[in-house]
Amino acid sequence: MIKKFGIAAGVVLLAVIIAATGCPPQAEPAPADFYKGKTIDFVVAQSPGSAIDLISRVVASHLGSGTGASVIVANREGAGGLEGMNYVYKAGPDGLTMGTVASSKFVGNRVLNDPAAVYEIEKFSYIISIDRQSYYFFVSPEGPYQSVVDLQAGKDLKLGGGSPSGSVCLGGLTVIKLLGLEAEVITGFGSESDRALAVERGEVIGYCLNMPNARASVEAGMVKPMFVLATERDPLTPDVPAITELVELDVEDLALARLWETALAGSTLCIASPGIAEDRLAFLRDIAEKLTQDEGFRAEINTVSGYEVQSYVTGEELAAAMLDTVANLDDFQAIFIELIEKYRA
Amino acid sequence: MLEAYGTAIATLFQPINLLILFAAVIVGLIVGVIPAIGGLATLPLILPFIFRMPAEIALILIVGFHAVIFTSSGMTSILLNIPGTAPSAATMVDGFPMTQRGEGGRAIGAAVTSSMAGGVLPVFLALAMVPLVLPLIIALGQPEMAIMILLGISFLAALTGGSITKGLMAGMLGLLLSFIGYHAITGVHRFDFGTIFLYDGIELVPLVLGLFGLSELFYLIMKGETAIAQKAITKLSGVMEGAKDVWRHRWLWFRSTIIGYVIGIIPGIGAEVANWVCYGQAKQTSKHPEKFGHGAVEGVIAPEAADNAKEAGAMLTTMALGIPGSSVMALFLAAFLMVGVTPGPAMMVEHLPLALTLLLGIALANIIGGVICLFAAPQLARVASVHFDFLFPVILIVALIGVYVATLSPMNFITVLAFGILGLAMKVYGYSRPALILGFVLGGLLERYSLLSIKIYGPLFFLRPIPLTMLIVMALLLSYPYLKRGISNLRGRLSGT
Repeated sequence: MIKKFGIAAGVVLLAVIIAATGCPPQAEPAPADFYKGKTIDFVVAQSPGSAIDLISRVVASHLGSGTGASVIVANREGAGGLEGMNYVYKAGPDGLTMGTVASSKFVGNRVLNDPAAVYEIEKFSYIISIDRQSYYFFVSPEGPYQSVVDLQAGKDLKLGGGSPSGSVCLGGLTVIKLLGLEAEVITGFGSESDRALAVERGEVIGYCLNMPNARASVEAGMVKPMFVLATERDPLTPDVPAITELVELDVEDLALARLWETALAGSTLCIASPGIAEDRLAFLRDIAEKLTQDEGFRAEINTVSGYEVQSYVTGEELAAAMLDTVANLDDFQAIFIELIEKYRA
Repeated sequence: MLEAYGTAIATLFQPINLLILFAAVIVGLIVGVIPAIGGLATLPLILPFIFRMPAEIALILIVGFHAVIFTSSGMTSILLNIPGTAPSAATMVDGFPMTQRGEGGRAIGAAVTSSMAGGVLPVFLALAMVPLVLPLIIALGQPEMAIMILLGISFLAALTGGSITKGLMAGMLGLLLSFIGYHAITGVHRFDFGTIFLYDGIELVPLVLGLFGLSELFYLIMKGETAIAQKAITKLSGVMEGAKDVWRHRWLWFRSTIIGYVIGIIPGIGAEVANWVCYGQAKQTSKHPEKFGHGAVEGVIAPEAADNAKEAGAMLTTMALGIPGSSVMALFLAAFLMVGVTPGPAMMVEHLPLALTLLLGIALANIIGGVICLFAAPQLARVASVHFDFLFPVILIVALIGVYVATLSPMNFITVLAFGILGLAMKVYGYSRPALILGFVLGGLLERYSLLSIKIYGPLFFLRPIPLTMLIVMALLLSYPYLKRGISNLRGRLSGT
């Protein structure tokens, strides 16, 4: 009896060993199957109601339909969005954590080497970039500064800034450098309406910002765009000149202006955590690319943006552009740190 | 104009719009009651659904939803000493002691009536205010704001409780705590120990929950109490007594509504300030300031009137000027833009019937929400007599879930616990917790506006005409009790001779 049991147990053990070693490992499910029924943690590194938040919610909703996953959107705007960026960066490489960030802040944190930004730009998995919002320089429609000549003739000018390391401040510093102004950037204005009101009161003469965020102030007649901080006009406002039309820039300044139409331009970057499997990334990129050709999706993006969004950049192109940015990061870092020391009040 | 009013009323009273408004009010009331969760956490969830809706339905939905959140949030503060939303924390100071006395129903009656009427009156002020709003906002630059915040901080004197020294120490601790985090003007990291958790400073919601809610529960259990109140009045007549209290203190209600409304109109002051400033002025102008903190109904009426009035003021600035004064109003602005309506001066001309529909919608939502709350109050007041063995775990879990939903950071559980212990110590040793909150709420604003004023106008910014006048008025207000006493002494001496 015992002998028979021993033989049977031996056979079973042998079968298990053969099964374990001889069978091929269980294949990873195809991405389309993997995402079905799963939950995607979708982080928006901006405050609720911001332009990026509204775009993100449209993207998240369509991404959910495309993947078959439930998408839970959460705003992690803390520390100027750093909380969300770090969160996505530190998440596991399973492809279930993704989110959206403002490119200017995303790149700006690295440009200024913010110690709280633990991420490395080149390591993220890039899915798509939506829109490319140029930065404009806004002034009062009835103030004393209506042209670059007026600005250059001014003394002790004050420009409005937001966070000391934010894109509004960096944009202002760039304008001071490119136009050679006798000016400084006053940081600490809490919101766009704070800055617009400060312009209306004459506390500051103007500030740099992208058009979607300044739209309400422009439509209320509090500010108007003087020029675009770029080398070409923005199709959104064909009547507003590019800064290069108004002043002649040397090679270094031209490179700085170009940075504002590439890496620092206000785009909504849809990213996933680093290291996700290539087939899953390709699957997500494919869904995103198809979305950009879907009229319904584009119409919703246009509705929340308030204008016709022209620029959609694929994940592959975006990843390549980010690598390019990282390659030149040191040069820009030195320029901005010098500008902050000289012109930030 | 009359035609526009007619169109607005006809639109609002269409069955579908009334149904949407009613549903929005119910959801808004529920959101308001859940601790720590307010419009900021819930409005983003609604936005994706309004894309395809007609503008008037979408906007009636969000307006009705938001209008009543602050009406019901006061009930959690009163019954459980846990704020339904951060601004309603001021209601706890006197609302909860009333519940402990078994007068939770009366406190709710006062809070709901005050809040409801505080939300309705500004609607009728709105159109008269439109031409005044922009000049008012333009006149209030950085120096004027700095002095206004200073005036708010002067109410610390009224919130000190028994000992002025201890009260001022608590206020100073609040100021110190407000300085934690990344400094938005200089870019310096202060006391954040290199952690991203403290990058933006300590969050108000967990601080208030710990300092008041948790510490009070600890204290009651320490004292061996088995329930918040041994016997609670749960009749509708008790609730209506609270409504009558509002009429008895109608001038206080009116003053608080106007103060709240003006604070709401001015962008950048913050929702929390209005309630605390109104609470402070109620105590300062009361004939019986010693009753505050021990269940004075005026301490419930003042902050609750300000609560809804400030939202109506903020809504006016958003609609009439396109300037969102708070994060919630930024969401409203986004919602308007999403449905193709651009807020701003043009809205009050091009979309006047819609603007009036929304304003009347706010008034109607407040009335519907208020009536529902008044009738629900007797049942809700029963919670005060539930045994702690059942109540404590429920409150703790619901509050912690609220903190997590509002902040998305489990680290804030530690904040709640730390401030729970601090709050208990402050209560036991007689340090004023409201003073700490006022210092905390206003500290960051005072620093910001003062520094901006110095950078823009120089160190003598307070010598500009408006700030100087405001400083003189503030000095007169603060010295008013002493002046009054001095004058009456003088009169007494003169009549004696």
